[in-house]
Amino acid sequence: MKDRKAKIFNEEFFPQIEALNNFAYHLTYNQSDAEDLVQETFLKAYRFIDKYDEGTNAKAWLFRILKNAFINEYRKKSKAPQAVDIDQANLLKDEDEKAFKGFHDLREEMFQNMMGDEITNAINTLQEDFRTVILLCDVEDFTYEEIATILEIPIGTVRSRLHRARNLLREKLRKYANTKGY
Amino acid sequence: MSNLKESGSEFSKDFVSPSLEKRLSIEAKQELASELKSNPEYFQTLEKDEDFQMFIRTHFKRKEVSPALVDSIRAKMGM
Repeated sequence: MKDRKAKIFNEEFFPQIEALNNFAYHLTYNQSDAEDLVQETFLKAYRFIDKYDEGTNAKAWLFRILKNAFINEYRKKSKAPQAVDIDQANLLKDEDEKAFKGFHDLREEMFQNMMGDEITNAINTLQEDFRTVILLCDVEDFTYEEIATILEIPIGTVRSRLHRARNLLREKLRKYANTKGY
Repeated sequence: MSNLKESGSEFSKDFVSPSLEKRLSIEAKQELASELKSNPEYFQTLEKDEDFQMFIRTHFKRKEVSPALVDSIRAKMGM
């Protein structure tokens, strides 16, 4: 049993630690809290390893544990609940098509001249629910189905949330590019 | 498919995002290939959307994991 656990952790779980740490950091904005969250995730995985099917989707399984730990423990401790502002979301919906068109009007060189810090900062300014789907889909390459499982929301919600998040991000980057004269 | 020819945004909604999520059906993939062949502007749209996702992925700054964190986790699990 111990050998099986060690094999799973070494071959499947520990290779995901960078992605988990990255996700945790962009949820908490604090490296120490992020490390606590990652540690808690691994300890929970160790405790509940019987519920994991060896050789399946370790990354999605661990991300789901981390997300639940963040919601159930970290958020309660920090007493800083976050949710999508419905009014703002509705406003964003109205801006969606305009933002999308704006993005496609950008010149190609805009991409080459933007720095990683600006991209990361733009993502960090998104509200938590929008930021989360961008991180899971565009940064970590999870499919809609996997994201739906991790966040425990319907696929349709993933799709609409991601659509709005991308348009919002495009708009933020477009504004930044304009200020730089692109 | 004719409605796609009327609007680039319809094309984007129906094909660009699904393509990025790698969830197009075989029929939809064939339809997309055919559409791209006859309408080069759609190819440009698809390419820009894929570029955007790739741009985010490659420029996003990832946090490094400290060896101390790995050691701490291993110690707590007795590994």
